[in-house]
Amino acid sequence: MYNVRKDLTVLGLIALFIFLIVLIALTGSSTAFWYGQVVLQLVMAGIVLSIAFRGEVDE
Amino acid sequence: MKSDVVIMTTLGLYFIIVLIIGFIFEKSVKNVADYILGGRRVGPYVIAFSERASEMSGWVGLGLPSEGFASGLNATWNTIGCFYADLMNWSVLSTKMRRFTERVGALTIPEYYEYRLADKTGLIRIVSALIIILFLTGYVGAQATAAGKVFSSVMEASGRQLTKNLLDTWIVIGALIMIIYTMLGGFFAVAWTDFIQGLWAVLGFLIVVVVAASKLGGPLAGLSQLHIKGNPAVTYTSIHNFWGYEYTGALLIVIILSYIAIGFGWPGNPHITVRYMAIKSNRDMPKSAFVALALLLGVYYMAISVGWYTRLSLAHGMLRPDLAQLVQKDAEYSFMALTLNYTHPVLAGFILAAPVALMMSTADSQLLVATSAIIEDLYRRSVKREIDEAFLVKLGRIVTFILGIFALLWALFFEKSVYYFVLFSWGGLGAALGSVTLLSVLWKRMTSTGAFAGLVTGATAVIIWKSYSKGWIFWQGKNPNAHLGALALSVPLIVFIVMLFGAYILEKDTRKTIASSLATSIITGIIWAAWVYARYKIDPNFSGWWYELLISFPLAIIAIIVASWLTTPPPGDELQRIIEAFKPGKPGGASTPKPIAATEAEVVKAFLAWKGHTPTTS
Repeated sequence: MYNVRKDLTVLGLIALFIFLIVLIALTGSSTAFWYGQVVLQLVMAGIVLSIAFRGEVDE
Repeated sequence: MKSDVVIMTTLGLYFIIVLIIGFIFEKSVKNVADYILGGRRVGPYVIAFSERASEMSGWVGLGLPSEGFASGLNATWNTIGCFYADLMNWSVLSTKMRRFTERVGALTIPEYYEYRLADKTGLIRIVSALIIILFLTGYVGAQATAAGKVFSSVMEASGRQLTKNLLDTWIVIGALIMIIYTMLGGFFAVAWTDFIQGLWAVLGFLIVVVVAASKLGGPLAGLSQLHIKGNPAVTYTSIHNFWGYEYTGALLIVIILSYIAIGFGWPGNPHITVRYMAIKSNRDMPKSAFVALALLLGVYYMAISVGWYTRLSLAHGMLRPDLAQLVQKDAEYSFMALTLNYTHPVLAGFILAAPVALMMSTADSQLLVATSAIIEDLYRRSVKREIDEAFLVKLGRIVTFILGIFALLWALFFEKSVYYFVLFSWGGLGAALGSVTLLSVLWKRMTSTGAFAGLVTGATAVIIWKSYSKGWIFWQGKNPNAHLGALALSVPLIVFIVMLFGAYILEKDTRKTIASSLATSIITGIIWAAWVYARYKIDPNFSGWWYELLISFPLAIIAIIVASWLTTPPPGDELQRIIEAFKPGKPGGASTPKPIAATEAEVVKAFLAWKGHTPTTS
């Protein structure tokens, strides 16, 4: 609430990565889908959490 | 000694261990805040495991393997949806909810809503508490069913016939252990046993997956076979369809989106979100988040792999005939079949405790949340005086027992499919509460009437669509298209009528009441009708999966926005106080609002004063 821009960035990134996964699934092979989505999820977690917790844990 | 006796002895040992933990922590419960929120003193790793173990229920233990068995690679879709949803929860909700609820002294989600929306009528608290009780009781029932299936599979695998009576007997035993353990518990015990149960589940899944993969030629050896449509090795169609692979075009997209939409349930399931409120400090939140997300990925993929390996073992004739028969009868027995097929009975007992651990850790958390909805939201906050803490804890235990019995009856007399029953309860909580929780931190303009619209629209859409999907309403014989007009009108009509009452209580203004009720029902009605029409055009025979949360969550969000714009937000100074309570800052810093209260008694006094009551001690 106090920083909606940051929250919307996080949600936007999540939506973008889901879109990429669906794209891989619809256009690629099963192997590409399987490895692609696992790698994307791990990358995603790192990026999103580092943005989300910046300035949040200073109590 | 017979193998089932060995397995049940090992399982019994597991139950003794968790009961001992329950007894040890029973003495730590001194007041209601300890009982339902662990006094906000729980460490990051325990919270991480507890958040995961609370969510990963019998659904993950039995339902996901069944999905992997039936849908092959497509079962991965819900893991993708769930991962991103949990990521969103940790990123957007966790620190803000922790900070806000501590500062205002809220112990439950309905209390959080009440303070966040500045609702002095108590309506939002009561309605959200009732929604929690309604959906969570059924949810716990599904966990009891899951426990029953684990026990009965052991009997079945030992050559004893699986009858309805046998399944019901084991459901009763499983539920009673669950209830007793939860009554002993309180949040401390629940969180710590979740930690152990979570570890147990990870180890259990790991062992069975590694053993099965080694027998089948490697971790991804069977994956390509599962993916190829019509592969004779895996074409076994008498249990379920291969979702996705038999569909194309728009329906395939709907089915994929339905899987992903499972993620919408995350912000709304209170047994997950209260974990954020219980952590010792926001400083610990990143550690908890990373551990929880890693656990989610690991356990979900292992659970789906169990389904794949069971199917491949069946296709290659590697399953024992009795286990093959069991899994063909019900794919939710996949985990048990694979375990009993490939491991020694003693090890099997240890492994079979894994889904039971997941089931128990979810059920105890849910019973606790449902109990808190009754004693804290419906009882304590409704009476206009302070109540003795010891009495409330006793009352809490009695309520836990009664709710547990209700859940047991639910499991005995309703559906026996864990996967779909959990998805229904999950959807109801996700649509109704999830929409409100998410917007409560993202949109300061949300009003109490807007939140009421979200609660009502979300819950109604889920209940109506689920009932329709099951063929209970708006069908004629086998025709799902017989009463589409009535189906399209049902949701907006119910929303309009309920909104009239709710909006009037909250707004006390006839013009705003009618405007918000009418606008909400018309706009949500148009979208709902489009959804009904899309189903008819894309899937006339209604053969695909149209998950209720896929429509009800966005519908609830839209209802909140429409009704909020037409009603009055809290006055400027009150809204400012609410916004300040979300903001981070160092203790004593200029930007940090002072906590409203430090002790439970002060919280109650502050709450009563805020609502305009003069407290008297009983």
